[in-house]
Order: sequence, then structure tokens, then C-alpha cells
Amino acid sequence: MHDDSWPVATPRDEVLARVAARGTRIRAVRGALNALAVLTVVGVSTLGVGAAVRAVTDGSPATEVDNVAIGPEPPNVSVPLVTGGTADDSTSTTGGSGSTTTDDPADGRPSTTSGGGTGPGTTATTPSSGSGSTPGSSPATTTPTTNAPSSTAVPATTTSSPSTTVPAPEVGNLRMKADGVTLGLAVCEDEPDSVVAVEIEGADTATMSWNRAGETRRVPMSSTSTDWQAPLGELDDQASDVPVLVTIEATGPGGTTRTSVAVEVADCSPLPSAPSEPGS
Amino acid sequence: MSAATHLPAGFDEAFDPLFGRAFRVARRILGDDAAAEDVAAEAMARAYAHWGKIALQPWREGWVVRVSSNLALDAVRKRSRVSSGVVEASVEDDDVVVRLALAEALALLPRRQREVVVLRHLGGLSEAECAEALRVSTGAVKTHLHRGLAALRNRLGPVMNLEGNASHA
Repeated sequence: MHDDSWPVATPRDEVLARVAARGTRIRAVRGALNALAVLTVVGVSTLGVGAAVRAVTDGSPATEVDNVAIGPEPPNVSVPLVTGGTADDSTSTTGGSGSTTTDDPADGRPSTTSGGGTGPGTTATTPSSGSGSTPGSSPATTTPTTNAPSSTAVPATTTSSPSTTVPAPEVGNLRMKADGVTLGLAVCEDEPDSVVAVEIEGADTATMSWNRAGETRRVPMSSTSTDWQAPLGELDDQASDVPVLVTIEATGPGGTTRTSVAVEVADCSPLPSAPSEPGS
Repeated sequence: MSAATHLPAGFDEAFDPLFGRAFRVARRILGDDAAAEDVAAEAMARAYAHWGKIALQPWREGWVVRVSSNLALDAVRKRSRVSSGVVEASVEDDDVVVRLALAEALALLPRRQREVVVLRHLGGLSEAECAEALRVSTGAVKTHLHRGLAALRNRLGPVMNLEGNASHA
């Protein structure tokens, strides 16, 4: 029965076996990359908290501790990506956490604030003896870190930093656009029209980079006023449902701000609006 | 077959018609049975990987056709990138020229127009099936189809007639 309409020379069972093997591999890779993306985001978040805890417990000079401890409220980096358009119900989502790194224009030292369950506020009032800043950036101090001079050029903290007068670029919520019409996808592989748009204040230039399956791509973002956007492009040769780690790097007179967000990649198809029902 | 014992429920039964659709649309774009078979197999592998989501959906056939056509268009573009001399070398081969031109013109269309044109004319789906696959109204399908074909004719000019090509390919 199968052979009656089988269109290719290769035996059906052989093709089916090949398809099954490849499909299984796609599923495995997708699962691994999903886990990797989650670990990456969680790891970045944990790194800042861990450094702060280490500095408190053993007094080691952790260069990132100051900024985590005295850092401002982070920009809203745990942002949901929404697809543009209104054609149908969108299921696009993003990971629940992200991280923001702000380069200090004074000393070029990156300061990491982390999104997610534990924000900088958790460590902001923790005294950190001996956790002075990076040499040259501010004097070492034994005062609580909340009173230490800030080297972070984010608007919320510039008042405490005598060396910083211009706020660092502030990155807003990321949005997905797709040709003005939504398919209900966060990002569709093989989709050349997907655009990431974001509002950035205080930036002269901005780039967007994204990593998927170990491959990193980077494109400059174009802007009209404070609206910046860049095409995400195609995600070909990748399994669907593998998150993409998108990083926005905005540079302005006040320094550089980086924001990373895990973006889910949905099937290249409309997603069901309700759980599947038996009997198609 | 040993692989069949590990197949998700319903995949074996759906394999033939879905593979056939995927193969035909890929062959229309690529004009090459072997390459079309590879593309169709890859599309089916992706269907396999997402079978839990698409198995019971009425648009699963459209899903497979879209994936297959996207892969085929991608293959055409990669092929022309890898060997930029192909076009010149096969200028005498009208069929290849037409397919390359079609693939490039399709790639330039807005996504929704491209999807409708591919599903309707290369995938052979009816307007109602296209609407179901894309989860839009048939009116929207007609609109996108009209605009897409107009854009293709504008770009391709006298090179080809898409409907004619689709029907004989």
C-alpha cells in the first residue's frame, strides 16, 4: 500500500528510518540547547550574587561586587517579547530572567546587575568590608557598600558617582515585529522578516547579537529617535523551540549598557490556541 | 522496520501523504528529485521532532509544506551562493533560470505573501486549506495571493508565469 504512491526511488522504510533518526537528533539537540540557554541565564544571574556573597564571607576583592552591591535597580530586562500585529493569538514568550551589564565610562569596567529572583536590592545593604573597587576607579573603603562611590553610570546611581555625569543608555522592553502581521510566534525559524525592536534612551549606537547553537551573529541596530530595531533574520538549520539569547548593546556618552534576554523560538507554523484535541 | 517501533503515534500512518506533499513542493522549487527528497526528509524530520504539537492539528499538512518550501528556497539560495557561476553556466537551461528567478523573487516577498503563494501554487493547497494552514480567513488568503502574484509578475516580468510553471512543474 505504501509503495503505490511512494514518490522517490529510495525505499520508504529507509527514508522513514532516516527521518526518525534525524528527528530524534533534532529533539535531543533542542532539549540540550534549551537547557544550555536556561543555564546561561541562570549562571549569569548567579555569578553576581555569588561574587557578592564571596566578598562578604571571605573578604576577597571581587571586582563585580561593588556594582552588584551598590548597583541601581536594573533596567527592566525580564521582558516579554511580543510579536507585532494582531492577526491571531500570540504565544510568544521569553525566558523569565535576564541580565544587564553596564560598562562604566570612567574605567571601562563592566558592572553586572542581574535580573531574576534575586536582584541587586538583596545585596545592596550588605556591608562588604574590603571589597574596594577596581584600582583606579574609586578608593578602597571599608564602609558599607551602599555608601561607596558608585562607578555605575545608570541614571538611578549617577548622583553618588562624582565622576559620572551622563547617564548610561537605558534599554527598554524588547518587542518582536514580523512584517506587521503576527503568526503567533516569538521567532520563527526560516523567518527573514522578524525584527527586534527596543526603546533605548541615551544611546548613539546600538548592536544586537544573538547566539544559537553556538553560533553568534551581530548586527548594528538602526534608529528613529529612541526606537531602535534590527532584523533577527533567519534561524535556518536549527531546530525549532530552541531559545535564542539576544543581547542588545547600547553605547552612548554615558557608557555602554548590555541587556540579554532569552527569546523562545516557536514552530514555523501557527501554534494551537488550545491543547490538541483527539481526532483530527 | 526497527525505527517504526519508536515512531510517535500516528506518524507512520501520516508519513506517506505528508512526505509526498513535502517532496512535490520541494521538487517544484528545486527541480531536482534527489535534492527534493533530502528536503522532504528534513521537513519530515522536523515534523517528527514536533509531532506532539502538530499531530492532531488540521494545519499539519500546511505546516509540513511550509517547512519544506522554506527549506527548498533556502537550498536554492545556498546553492546559488556556493556556486555563483551556476546561473551563468546554465543560462541555456530555461528551467533552472526560471527556478532560480522564482526562488529569489519568492524570497523577496513579504512573509505572508510568500507563504500563501507557496502553499497555493507550489504546495497545491486550496484557498480554504491555505487559510486553515495559516489560520487566516480565505479573504486574507486571496488578498495576500493577489498581492504576492502581482509582486512576482512585476519582478519576474516576462520570464515566467507562476501559475503556468506551478501547474506543469
